[in-house]
This record gives sequence, C-alpha cells and structure tokens, in this order.
Amino acid sequence: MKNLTIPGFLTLLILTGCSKENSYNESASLSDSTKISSVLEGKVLTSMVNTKEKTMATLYGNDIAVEYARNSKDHKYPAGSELSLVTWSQKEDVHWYGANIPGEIKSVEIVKYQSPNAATLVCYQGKNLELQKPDFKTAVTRIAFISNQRAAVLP
Amino acid sequence: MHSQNFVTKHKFLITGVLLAAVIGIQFVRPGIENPPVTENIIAPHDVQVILKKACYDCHSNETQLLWFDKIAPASWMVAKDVKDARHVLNFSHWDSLAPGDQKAKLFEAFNQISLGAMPLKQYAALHREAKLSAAEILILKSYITSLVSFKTSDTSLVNAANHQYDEWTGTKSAKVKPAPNGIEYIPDFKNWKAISTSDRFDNGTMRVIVANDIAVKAIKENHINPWPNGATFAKIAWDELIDSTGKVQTGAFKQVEFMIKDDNKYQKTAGWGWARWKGMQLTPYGKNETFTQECINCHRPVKDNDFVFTMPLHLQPK
Repeated sequence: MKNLTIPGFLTLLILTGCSKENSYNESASLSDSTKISSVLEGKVLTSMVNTKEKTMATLYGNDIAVEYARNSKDHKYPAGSELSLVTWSQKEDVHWYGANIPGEIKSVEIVKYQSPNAATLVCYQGKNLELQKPDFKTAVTRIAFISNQRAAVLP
Repeated sequence: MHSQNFVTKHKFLITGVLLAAVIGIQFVRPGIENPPVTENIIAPHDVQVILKKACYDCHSNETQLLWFDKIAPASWMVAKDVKDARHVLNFSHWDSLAPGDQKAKLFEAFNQISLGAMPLKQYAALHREAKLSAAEILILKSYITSLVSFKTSDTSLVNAANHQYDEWTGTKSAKVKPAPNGIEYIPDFKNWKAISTSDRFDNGTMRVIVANDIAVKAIKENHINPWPNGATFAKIAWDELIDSTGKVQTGAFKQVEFMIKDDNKYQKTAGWGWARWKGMQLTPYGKNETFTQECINCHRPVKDNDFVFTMPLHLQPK
C-alpha cells in the first residue's frame, strides 16, 4: 500500500506542476527579483523572430517612445524615450501545433534617450539576466538596431 | 395501489403502445443524404486512409452509418452532428476552399485531434475506428508540416507592408462598424499590455496578444481560470516578412480579434463576446451573428482553460 501511495503522490505533484505551467508561461516571465520585470508592461512597438537562432523578441516602449514611433517615420527618438527589447528562445505552443511562443528569456536590452543624439544601453543576459557591460562598438550597433525597428502597423 | 392495478391489468397495452411509438418514430427521418463529391482532398495515400477512417463519416459526403446510427432517436442526433460537421469542414468539397484556407482547416483539424476534442467523445465511444493512434497522429503531423513554407517573402509582400506603413504613420483611425453580434470596436487595445506573442508558422503571421487592465489585474492576482467578467483580450495579427537570413519582422496588418469575458451577457457564446475586424479598413468579420460558432468551435479544445489558448506571461504585482 505504501509503495502505491508514494508514486500516487508524486504523480499528483507532477500533475499540479503541469497544470500551473499550462495556465501561465512561467519560463518566459520575469520575476520581481530581477528589478526590471516592469519592462514587460510597456506598450508593444513590434515583435520579431530569428528562425535560424530559434528566438523571438518583442520591442516595448514607454509612452514617449511609442507615441513617437507610431507617428513618425524617422527614428530620432525624443529625450525621455525608452525602448526595451526582450528576447526569448522559442518553444512549441502546446495548445496549437503551428505556433511558436516565448520559451526561456535570453536577454533584455534597454535603450534610454537623453536627447535625440544621445542614448545609453543597459543589457542583461542569460536566464538569470546578469548585467553586462557591452563594449562601445556593440552598444552603438545594438542601439542603432533597436532604434531602427519600425512600429508595427495598428489601425 | 390503484395505479399498480392499472399497470398489471394493462401490461400488454402499455408494452404495445411503447413498441408502436418506437416503431412510429422510425418513420420520422431527418435523413442523411450523400450529395455528390465535387473534389476530394488531395493528399498522400496514408493520410487519405486515416481521414477516411476517422473523419469521413461526419466531415464528407461519403457518410457510412452503422445499423445503430439509423435507429431513432439516436439517428436524429447523428443527422444533426453530420450536418453541423459538414458545415464546419467537408473533405468532399475541398475545391471550394482557397489553398490557404485548406491548409488552415488541416491545422485546425489536426489540433482538434491532438488536443482530444475530435472525434467527439460520444461518437468515438461507439466508433472505435475513429480514434487515432499515436502513430496515425504523427503521420498527419508530418503531412501538415510538409505544407508549411519558410521561404523568403516575395517583393509584393514587402511592398504591401511598406505601402501600408507609409500610409498609416501619423493617421488617426476612422469610425469602425460594430461586429454582426453588436460588439463595438475597442480602439484602445493599442495601449494594452502584451501577455504573449505567437509566431504562427502554419499561416505566416505574427501575433501579439494584449490584455486590458481587468485581465492584467487577474494575471497578477492569479485569478485566470475562469477569467473575471470584463477581462478582454485582443489578438493582433500581421504578415510575417522573412528575409534571406531567416529574420522575421512584422509586415502588413491583417486583423485584430477580441474576446470579452462576461458570463451573463455572453452566456450563449461560452461566456465570451467574440469579434474580429479585418484589414486596414477594419471590416467586421461574419455575415451574421452565427460567426461566433466558428470562434467557439476552434477554441473548444481549450474549454478547460476558459476557452483561452494563450498562456500569459506572469506579470508581477508591484
């Protein structure tokens, strides 16, 4: 009887574990302990996929950045604009074969504009989102890449 | 005492009446006819065999009923099921669907099967052959996967996206007509929070799912099954633009779809108000309010998830 009870209990544990993962996409979320979990609450500017690397990313913006990107074709973001690019590895959607959804978080890159000509990049990488110190050239390339994304059309 | 006497006395009469009724209803036949097949689905032989065995009794004009399907009142239910099933998907009129819609139907059918929503439980219980084995499901999966193309987007798709973007930047949206079920367009969805993204390689679209404040609060407070009344989602879809290095960006805007939770107001439609607007003109989808049946049918495999496919990001309370 005892032998039967323990596997039974384990199954129950596994099942509850699964059902939780089924309701939330936990692996793709940011825990409060990262201090940057609020980046996921910005407005969406656009999203992208890299089929070779099997990653997907969403570009978020604060109100100033979003207002600007949705109304202007150039990419000269005004002072106070903040853009956050969150990149995930992709995983299959268990509810829909034919879709990939965010898996593990890979990186968070935050661009802040002090003026249209001056921006800084803060970069976190890996599952634990460790703060990186990108060299000057990388920072310039990434700021340009992130800032040059077009806002997705929303009628 | 009196009634028991009645039963004993008229035992034969009662049996006779019941028997007559059972025989009588056999003449009330809704009738399942097999209209001509215009064009069957063209697929590899092993796929055809599986579809014929598991799906064709309801989803084609080649319905083959077993003897017990033909006895009323069961036959009435069978007739209704077959009629509904043919309306949703009919492999005998495959040519009536555009190639993109054929692929979409196959992916939907596959997901209904793999999530256990199809074949219907009551049908599978009596028709064992309709239940697919893991090996058969794999054959279907590899077939539909072979239909997906990952090639670089052609210039017309890129040009369409560029043109749309140029026209759009800086313009304000015009008045939008309500959906046929009376649901009004909600322009504010552009400012809602994202709860997931979906790279739909089955139909070449990128999707972002956003949620209103009530839904976001429910996420933060772990009350998402069932979702509270007022929780509203918008699923926004764009063409995917794939470049030669395999990088994908959002292209032309395709549509936006809403789910509005209200288990009183939308009791008849699974507790949700459903609506879809297509293209830059935001044309409401559906000829009449029965379009919601399509939405519910597709979402039925996730009914235990309050009909919601999306597994939201776990946004944090602050």
